[in-house]
Amino acid sequence: MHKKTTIIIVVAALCFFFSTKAQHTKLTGQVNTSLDNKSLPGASIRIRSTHISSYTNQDGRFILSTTENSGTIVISHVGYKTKELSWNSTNTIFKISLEEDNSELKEVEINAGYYTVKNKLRTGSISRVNSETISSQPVSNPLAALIGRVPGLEVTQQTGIPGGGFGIQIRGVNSITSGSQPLYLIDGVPFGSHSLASSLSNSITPQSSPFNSLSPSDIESIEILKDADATAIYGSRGANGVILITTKKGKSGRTTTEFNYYHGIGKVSRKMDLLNTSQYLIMRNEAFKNDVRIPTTVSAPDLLVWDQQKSTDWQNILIGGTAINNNMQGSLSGGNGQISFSIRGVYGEEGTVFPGEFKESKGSGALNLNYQSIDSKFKTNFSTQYAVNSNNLFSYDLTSIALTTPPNSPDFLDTEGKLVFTPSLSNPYQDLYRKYNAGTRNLIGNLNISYQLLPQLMVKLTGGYTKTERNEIRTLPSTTIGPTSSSVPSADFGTNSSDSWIAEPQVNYQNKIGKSTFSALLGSSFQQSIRKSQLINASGYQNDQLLENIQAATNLKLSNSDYFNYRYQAIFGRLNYNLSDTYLLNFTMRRDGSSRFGKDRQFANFYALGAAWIFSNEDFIKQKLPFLSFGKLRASYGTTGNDQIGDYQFLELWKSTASPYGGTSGLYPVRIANPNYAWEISRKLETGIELGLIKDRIRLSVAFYQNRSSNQLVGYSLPPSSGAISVQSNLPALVENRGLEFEISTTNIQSGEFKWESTLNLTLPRNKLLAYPDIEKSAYASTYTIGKSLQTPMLFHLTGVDPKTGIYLFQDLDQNGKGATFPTDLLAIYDLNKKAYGGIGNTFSYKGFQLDVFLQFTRQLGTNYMKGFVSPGLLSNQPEVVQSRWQNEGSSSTIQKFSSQAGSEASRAYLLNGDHKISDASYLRLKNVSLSYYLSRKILEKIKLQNVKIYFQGQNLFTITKYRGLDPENQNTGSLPPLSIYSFGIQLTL
Amino acid sequence: MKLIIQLKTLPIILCILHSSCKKFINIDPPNTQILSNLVFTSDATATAAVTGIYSRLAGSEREGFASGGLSSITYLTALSSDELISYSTSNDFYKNAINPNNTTLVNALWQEPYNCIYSANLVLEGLDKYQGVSPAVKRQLQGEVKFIRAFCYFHLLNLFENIPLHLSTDFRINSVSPAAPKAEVYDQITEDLKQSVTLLTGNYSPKAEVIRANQWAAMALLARVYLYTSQWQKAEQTATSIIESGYYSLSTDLNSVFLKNSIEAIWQLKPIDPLYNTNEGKYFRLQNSPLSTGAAALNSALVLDFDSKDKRRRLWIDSISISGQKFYFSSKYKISGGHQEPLVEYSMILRLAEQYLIRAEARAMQGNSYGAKADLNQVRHRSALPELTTDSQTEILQAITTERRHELFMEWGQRWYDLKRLQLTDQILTPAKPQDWQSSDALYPIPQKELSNNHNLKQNTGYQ
Repeated sequence: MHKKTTIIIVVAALCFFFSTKAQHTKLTGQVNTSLDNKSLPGASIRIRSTHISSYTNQDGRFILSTTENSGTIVISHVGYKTKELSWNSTNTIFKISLEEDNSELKEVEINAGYYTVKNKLRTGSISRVNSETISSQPVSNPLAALIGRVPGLEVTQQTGIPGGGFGIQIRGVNSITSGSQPLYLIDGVPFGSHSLASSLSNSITPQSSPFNSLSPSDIESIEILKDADATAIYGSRGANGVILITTKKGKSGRTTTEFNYYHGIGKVSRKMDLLNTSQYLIMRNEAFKNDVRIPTTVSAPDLLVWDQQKSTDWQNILIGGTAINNNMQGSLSGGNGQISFSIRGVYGEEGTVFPGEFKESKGSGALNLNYQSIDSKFKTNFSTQYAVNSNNLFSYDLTSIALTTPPNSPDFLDTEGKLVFTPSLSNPYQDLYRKYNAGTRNLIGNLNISYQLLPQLMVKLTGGYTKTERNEIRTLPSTTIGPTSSSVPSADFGTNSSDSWIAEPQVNYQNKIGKSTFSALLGSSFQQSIRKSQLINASGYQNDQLLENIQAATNLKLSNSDYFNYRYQAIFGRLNYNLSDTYLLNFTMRRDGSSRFGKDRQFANFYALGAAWIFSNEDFIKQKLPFLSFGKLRASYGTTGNDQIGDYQFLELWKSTASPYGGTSGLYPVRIANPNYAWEISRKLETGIELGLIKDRIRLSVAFYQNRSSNQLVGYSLPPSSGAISVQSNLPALVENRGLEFEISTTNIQSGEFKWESTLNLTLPRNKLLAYPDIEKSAYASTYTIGKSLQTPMLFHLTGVDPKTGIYLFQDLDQNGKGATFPTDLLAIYDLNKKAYGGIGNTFSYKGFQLDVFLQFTRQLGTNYMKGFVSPGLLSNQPEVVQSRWQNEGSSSTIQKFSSQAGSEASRAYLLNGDHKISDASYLRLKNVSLSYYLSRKILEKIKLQNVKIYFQGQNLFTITKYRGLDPENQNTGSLPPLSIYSFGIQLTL
Repeated sequence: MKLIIQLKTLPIILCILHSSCKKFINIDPPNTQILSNLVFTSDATATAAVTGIYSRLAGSEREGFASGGLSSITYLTALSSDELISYSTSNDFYKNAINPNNTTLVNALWQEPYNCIYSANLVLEGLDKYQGVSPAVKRQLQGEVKFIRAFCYFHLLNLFENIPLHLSTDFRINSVSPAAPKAEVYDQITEDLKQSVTLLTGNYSPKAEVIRANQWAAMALLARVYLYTSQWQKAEQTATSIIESGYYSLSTDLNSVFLKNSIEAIWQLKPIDPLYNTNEGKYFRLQNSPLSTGAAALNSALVLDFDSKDKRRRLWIDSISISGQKFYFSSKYKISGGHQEPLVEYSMILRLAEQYLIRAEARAMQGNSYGAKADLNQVRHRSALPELTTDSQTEILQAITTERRHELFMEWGQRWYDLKRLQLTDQILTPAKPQDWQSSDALYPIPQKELSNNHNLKQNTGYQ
């Protein structure tokens, strides 16, 4: 029995073997590029009319087996023109050269999130920043590379300290108080944009950006989705725009190894001109004289105790250092037609300009794997990235101390390096010794599986996971506590983590009938994000050395412990109709449910319709306007939402008190709950025109947008007596953002090996509060004004300096004779929104050289230095401009008289919320210069390398501005301005 | 054709997805927090909700009106009256020029007591709405929060006078409430305290802690309310019940009055910062020259007002000398803290000596000079002062006012409130602060933040 079966199997197997063997034809060949006749790995070879296909190997060779005797083979490769060759039993060995296809390469595919679209055929408003633009800038946070590059996108660097945050806004602020952050996705996985930093880092790195853990060199492209057509498919979270980050993927072809290293130095980009000691002493003496006060050693140590000759510009000492940056990257990528991979690693260090050894260092590794079955029906892509960031900074930014410390103040350190405490002065070095450490670990993984069920139908599943963890320690050693302080040595330990996952099953349908192409997409999204945070204050230490050891503390206080669960579910779809690549219609929708809303308010629908007409494809246009190489009109309208509010706002919750009372822990109500608030809705309208002239040598696009947000979700201000200062609620306010966006790119000169290209982008935004019924009775009566922008503060209007008293005079609107009276004398005059912003770029290339120069500009009003300074005359340094102050009766000046008392009339006038603190903050900044040289082929062949690039990059090289203060971008005298960075680097491709 | 099949199945798929996703996005409350309906279903959690209010009073969220620190009623009203001299160049309270936007005013004196009132109202509503708390505990908690509510309103009323009276947690009502008449607020305070007296028990071991309100605490505050509202007979009766309860007696040693579980303590708050004893000790005891720190020192006029034989002058007032200049400070609390001393002092809120003085005044007002003198002499006796012998009602009343000034200085705004209720503010403070004092300064301004968000409230005179 057993024997019999074995024999049968063997015979059957043999029969099968011989029968197949007998009918086999073997096709072999070699594929080369036509340009330089080099072997081309990863080209696809398919026998037409069968499913048999293969790919070329590393040497460009292929082998195919078939049972047929003749037919046609199709050879294709991305970026090359597809070739077809016939074969028969005598002709089975091929030598093929593929011609490069520039047209296809130029046809940029735009990532629209759930689908991709050819740039020319898109109906929505999507801007793209590619890896070249990002890598030409020596920045460590990818968001920094976006400054000035994209119309409609405002990026503000908040500090020059490594690890600091960025303010990001797409097309203005839509929401009165809810978040205006765009939605970020990295390879389709939502990335929490809210800072994980605890309150410990508020001063040193405000709003520390989670994107710091992302290496700019890992990014292939960043797409910015702006209008309803592009963002409605993201429904409730699309109101503030969507930023899609695509990481680098493996490419089939020759295995390449790449190394990149750069070294950079950074200096503070702008300093203020401050008083020197003789000017400062004149100010102080005059201040005392004005107040008819006699200086004492307590009220004026600077006049009576300190050195009268010593003159120090503390900016040079405290923020005048040189930051050293080092960055190394390595990558390996390659693969054949079926499998491709990419492995990348980055290590970088960024220093600071403060005295001492402070730096942020980060390392990251990334892996990407791509597989597709031979018949290309089954595809899968896996990518993962792990990044570790750590910084050893200190607790407080020294910038404001550097600006305000009197120039003759005694040194802060004695000869042994110990802190010297001077009465009535805070010692900035005490902050340097108060260590602040932060470490962030970030894991991102995503998996993408798709299967082509039918020629028209594809099913797809994408899933992703991100985990971010941040640990912080801040110490307060006893050596840094001044003799008059009642503080005790302590340490704070902060732990924050966020865990989120997403799963999105999708069905894609595409069918071409005649000249019409229908595409449809239906998908569903499940997401969860859990955030946890904990802050422990430890004290009762015996020894400063043990501060970082929580076990050495005898007294622990749990200052904060939070847990947030956010769940999100959606169904989304897209219907697209394309007639002859000329008439395009695009309908997108999404139904969203969010756990942030109370029962029966969780779901909302969002939709958008977009249309485009590529009129340059029309025959009559081709005849009448032959210089027009491309022309498109597009328009879209739709709704999106915003759910950037806190979790659990509808639940009446109690939380444990930080300190127990009488030995037992208490509970307190977290907030006033409101179960009734619902979704905020933004209606977006956009029209645009895109033109290409003279064979696309001039490309121009203009877009007009108008976004209106209603049913505003706000933390509605309550009178404090009601038990809380705000409650989550909807407001009847209607906010409008409208604007014009221009983008021009030209190829100015292209002759021989010299090429000059230019780009310009310009945004003219406008923000307006259109309506707010009964605003005068609301909590916002003295904050917002109907018809003005949300960034128009209500301030007292300065009319000048009283020539009699030398004190600021404010307009007495209510004519009650009391000067500035709250709120009846408030005026909303100055709109602090940007009036215009954009960038101008020029690229020159000649032989191996390439030079990029990028200028960024902004026209705006802003808050000047006076917001961060005290009234001139007090024990604090001032900018040189205060010297033109009012001096005696009858003299006229724009600067009021000096006063030595904090409570004096002059000091109080200075501190008033008046428009003397508003002034022009427009600037033009040489944002980036990048010069690179590629070694010529001849040399490369000698040294046996594929490519060598040597480069210089400069960031924030100079700024032209009339701004009165430190930096017109962050407008904050308490924050370090962005650094000017000069870096040199080399990139090798093996 | 295939497309049609796809479209037909679409609604079915959507239906399945929809019902499952409703479940998906219904989340549990965070594991660090607890929902109201669970708080009020067990004795332990309901009690914790009330403990939370005491914690807040003691300053767990921020150092507020009851914390005894620099934002407390004790400190701020001492600046506004004639107890403290501030060495800061700009102290609104000391200059009697309080800005309605002053953050201490808004946060510590207004928002903190109202937050406690909100919590108290929430506890009362929760205890009514949910079942599960045992009857005894429920009575106890209701009594405590009614006491706390009355306590907060008492101080708000005496600081600001024109205040909204919130008895529920509904923000839609509370955010548009007009100011309640003074008499109505006093009626509510009296009602709350009377109920507390019946709901709470009074029997406790005199050696036990009195860090939560009991029947006697409610009665002590009630006696004070009767005094402030000139209900002399009731004031006398109520004070008598406490004095004769047998639980309290005047401590003979002045140094032990403010210790924890002091024999005369009716209600104390236990400090919550383990590195310190009381905030009064931490902040009132001067360690450095107020000239350089901008701190406040005890007004030397008050120091000089003490009889030289008065033991309180020696034991309750201390001083430091810096470059020949002497700065006085209250040394009722002895420990400044920061060095992990054992916890020996609690912050005193209600104590027996005040009850003697309340009864003395109530008796004097009713013409009972003998009884009044007897009570007054109880207090004078332990300070080694001679007995008061006069029979003149005016002189006895004057002596009581002086005695209150000496006994209760730097305690819970007693001096400030006395000046106001006896209509002495102008008479005393105009000469004491000739540059700063105006009659309208007797009321603090309603915080601007409150007015901006509730247009039915009006600012107090003098601050418009």
